[in-house]
Amino acid sequence: MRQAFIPGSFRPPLPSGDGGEKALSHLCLDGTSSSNSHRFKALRCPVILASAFDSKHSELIENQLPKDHSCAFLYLQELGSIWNFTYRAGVLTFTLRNRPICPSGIYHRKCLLDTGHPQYDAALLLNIAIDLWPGPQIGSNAMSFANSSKPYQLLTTILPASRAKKGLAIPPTFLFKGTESELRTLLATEGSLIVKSCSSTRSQVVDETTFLDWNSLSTNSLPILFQKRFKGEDVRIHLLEPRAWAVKVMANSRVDYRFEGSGARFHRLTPNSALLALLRSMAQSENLRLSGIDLMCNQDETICLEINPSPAWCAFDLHHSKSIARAILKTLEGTRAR
Amino acid sequence: MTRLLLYSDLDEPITAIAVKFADQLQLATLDVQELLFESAIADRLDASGAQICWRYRDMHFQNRPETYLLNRCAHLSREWFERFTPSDRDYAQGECHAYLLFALTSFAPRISEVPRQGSLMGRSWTLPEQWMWAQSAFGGLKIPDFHLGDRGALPASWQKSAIIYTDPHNLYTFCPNSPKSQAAACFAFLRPSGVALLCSVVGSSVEIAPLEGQKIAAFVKSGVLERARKLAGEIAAAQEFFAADILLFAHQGSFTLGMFANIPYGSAKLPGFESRVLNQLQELLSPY
Repeated sequence: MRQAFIPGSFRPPLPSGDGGEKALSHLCLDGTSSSNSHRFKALRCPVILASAFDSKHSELIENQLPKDHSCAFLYLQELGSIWNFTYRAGVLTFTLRNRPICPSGIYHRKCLLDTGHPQYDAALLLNIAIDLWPGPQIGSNAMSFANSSKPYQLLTTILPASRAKKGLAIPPTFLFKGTESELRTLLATEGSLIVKSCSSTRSQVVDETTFLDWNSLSTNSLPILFQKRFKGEDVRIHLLEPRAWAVKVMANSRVDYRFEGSGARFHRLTPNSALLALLRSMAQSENLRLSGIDLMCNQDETICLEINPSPAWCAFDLHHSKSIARAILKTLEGTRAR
Repeated sequence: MTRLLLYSDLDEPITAIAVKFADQLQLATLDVQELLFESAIADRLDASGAQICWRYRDMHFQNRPETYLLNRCAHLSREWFERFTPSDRDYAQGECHAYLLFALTSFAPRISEVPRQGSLMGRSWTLPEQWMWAQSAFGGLKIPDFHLGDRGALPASWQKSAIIYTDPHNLYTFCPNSPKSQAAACFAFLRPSGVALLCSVVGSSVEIAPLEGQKIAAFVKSGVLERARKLAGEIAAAQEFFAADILLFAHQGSFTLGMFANIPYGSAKLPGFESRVLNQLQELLSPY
């Protein structure tokens, strides 16, 4: 049987399962909405939708929720048991333990149930309903399209932007399927290469010092994405209109800082306004409210690797005084963060 | 000059005709499985753009300006990936889809249907997505009343109506039925009133047939068919379809959209379909 070139051990799966028996979905209510007389009245508030295995972002947002604000935290594993939804005639309503909730905005952490989960089909319907809903939202399914293929995003979003501004480039990228000897010829021609998944599946990025030890027969199994290795500093910029948060990543020796054993260190930085304007235009072209943009920078140029439509911003926000969490809340409530 | 048909399913109506007349059309044909699993691929993407380079046996394909790609990659079958070890199957399928999204787009604008969200071959929207789009794009066009979500919250007013429970991706179920699943949420809609008209679009040609055998002679006199033909042509053009089935329900002088699909299974059953497609393919490919 064929094997993918990138081994399973370099494609760490996202945590999944049934979420256990503990009910996680809940409402945080302001004083007025929690009174008995309001128990069955429709509540208008932000809705945070996540997987039970990706609760840290929800928890960070909940910690920043002002006492006089309400917010619903819904976990997908509990769809159909504790909460449900209906979409009719342009109106989306959630019910959590019989309490109707009309979302003022939705933050949809990119999540889906395992295919075997009894509510898998219901979750797909929820995705459709959220995509149809015209209200303010962050991270809907429709917004993730371009990033579902890294080379597609490079071709359709990042390359056109890089042509508009000197100094921003895309990494030379190779979609390869062939023999090991052909791969060695590519390496000899292009110099050091990294390999990563072509899709949005998470994979640990490595260079030839690692991938030449992998199964050489599997270079011909399916198309593989290689990129020219770029020497520079990793920079991560989160955008949520009209704000931006940027950090420089200080890593040790590994190619992929996300897999640093001791953890990478972040230093805040202020990107120049021309670059920020360009990054904003890229995010807008994909209709992204929140994005996490991966750059690599050296003295000569800046390359843009990827625009993440559902970024994991938690670890970075600790260096931004949790202002990303507050800005998300404000966006979902329809007002800007202070 | 190169004319290439890339296809995923030989039974798909346009693919079947293109393959049958490949010699006449001077069309090279390549099965997506042959590309993904049997070809050598050496594509490059850099500041100058994307260069696609495929080699299958003694054939070479590139996205040069003189190349035209007839894209009939309707889907990637799950069965194709059984050649991979079980733990790699989901990953391999996702990688192949991501690769094709890039590679097919690299042929634009010389491609029959550029990949879009949800499909490698043009747009492939669910029924509710189609309806919401049509409602905003065509002011006078009605859409079915539909419900997504909690099955216990279906409107009470629907109880005596002709309800259709289905998968939103299933474009061909328009007979009232009972729900098959007891999942917490469902998709249901009311069958539109009126006569169901299948509008068969191939390029700028639109033929109309009643879906359920009704007599539509009166529609000819009243101008309903002409209006349906115009509307179907506009929908197909807006979606940039090469060919399409478009289902309209005509009732009391107005239309309700049933669905549109760019794999024309319904049209393929109509007389004259093959020659209409062949003519359209000759016209489409003539500059290349």
